[in-house]
Amino acid sequence: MTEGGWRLSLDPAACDGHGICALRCPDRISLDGWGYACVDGTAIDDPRVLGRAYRAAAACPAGALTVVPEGGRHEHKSPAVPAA
Amino acid sequence: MGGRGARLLGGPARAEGTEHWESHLRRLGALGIEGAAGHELVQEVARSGLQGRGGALFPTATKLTMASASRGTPIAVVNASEGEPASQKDRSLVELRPHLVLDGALVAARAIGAPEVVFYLHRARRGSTAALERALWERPPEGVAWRLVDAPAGYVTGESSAVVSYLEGQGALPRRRSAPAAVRGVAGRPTVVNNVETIAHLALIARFGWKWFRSAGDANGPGSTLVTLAGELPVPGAVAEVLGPTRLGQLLSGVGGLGRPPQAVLVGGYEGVWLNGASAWEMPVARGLLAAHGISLGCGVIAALNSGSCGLATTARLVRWLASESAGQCGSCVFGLPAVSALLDEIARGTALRRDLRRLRQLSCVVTGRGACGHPSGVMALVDSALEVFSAELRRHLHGRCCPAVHYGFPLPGHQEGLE
Repeated sequence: MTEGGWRLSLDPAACDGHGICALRCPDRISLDGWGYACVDGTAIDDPRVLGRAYRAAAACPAGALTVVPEGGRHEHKSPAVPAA
Repeated sequence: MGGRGARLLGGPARAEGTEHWESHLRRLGALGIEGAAGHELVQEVARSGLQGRGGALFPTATKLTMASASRGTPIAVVNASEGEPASQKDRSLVELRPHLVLDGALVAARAIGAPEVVFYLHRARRGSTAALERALWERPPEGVAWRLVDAPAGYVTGESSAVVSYLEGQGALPRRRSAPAAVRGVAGRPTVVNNVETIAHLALIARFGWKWFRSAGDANGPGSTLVTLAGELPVPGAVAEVLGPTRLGQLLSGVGGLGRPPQAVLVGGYEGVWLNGASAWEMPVARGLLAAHGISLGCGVIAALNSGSCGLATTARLVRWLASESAGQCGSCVFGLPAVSALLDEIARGTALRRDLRRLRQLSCVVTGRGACGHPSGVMALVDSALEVFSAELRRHLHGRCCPAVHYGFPLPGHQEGLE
């Protein structure tokens, strides 16, 4: 874990597709065809981008978006076959 | 059934039904872990290299170690939900060898110091519940509390975070958790969720040791492995145990009764991948070797597709069902999978245009890797492999020519074969 590194983390089950986040932080967030957030969850080095990431997280009405320490657990699961 | 040298399926023939306590003890002897410390059991499992047989192949010892090192009273969960429609291996183990599964659950509980073992079963499967209840009644008291939990049926309700969520008194829905279940699971307690086959292996590792366990399988996928041979076979739904070098063709002909290579084979369950039948026929059925080629045996389902059947129509039918099995939580799954399903239906009917295929490939990029669980990614892996393996049929379908028949040889819950 990088000292002091931060990144965006989305809980896809909580995302309701309001889309405000993509307006606040277009650097890291885009919307898919149905309006749900697609988040680039890699480390944020630029402090201005980090500021926008915080504003995006704060603006999410569903509380689905958070800024977490880099190496923190909330990441996209890699494609995997679910347990039978 | 197992045949010569079988491990999990060794003992009396399948036709003799559930193995009872006396026969189990006579055959395998007492479990004999009373004197063993938890960390010794974990070390034995670590040396065995056992990987989770629910499909994810996560190292079992890692889960046990995490749980032992975490705060709170641990819980051992045996995941017997087997939501994969074509899979029969877990219910076969529970119904034929309940004492082997219970022994294994004791090993897991002792290894992490859990006073409680939970069996997570689907309601519809009365036979499994009955076999376990009877087996528990036959056994002497063993110092752990056994609980049988009736879980709702469904494809994603057996995903381990859904299991934990259900045991916490919430819906059986996949959730993103702040820590692995083995660290903080049910009500914050370390919760080790293991598939039935994984648990049954523990019973044998504790008896015969890690070296014996590793003498089957291969270096990267040690131990014997159970497979269900499904799909369009003369003998569908048979469970076989693979111990050593075996080619897929040997299994499909010897156990499934197939005389020649099928058109295609679906490996790893309904969220697995299609492989060309002729090349898969010579493929070794070994978890480690296959993984090196990017193929996962997953939950062990190997389903054959007849040369007379349409792979695209079959895939469309499976995807329609898988889309309906979404937990309905994530947008990419709720909207993405029905859109994918609709496009596949168009292709199967021969009414799709080239731009529909482009749209399907775009959707694959949009949906893969998103969502709270692996469901959308798994469906897209199936679709992507279908477009590749059935590329010749795909060209015909795009020119408005349908294939002649769909045989419905792939079982789906609530669907009667041939009637739709």
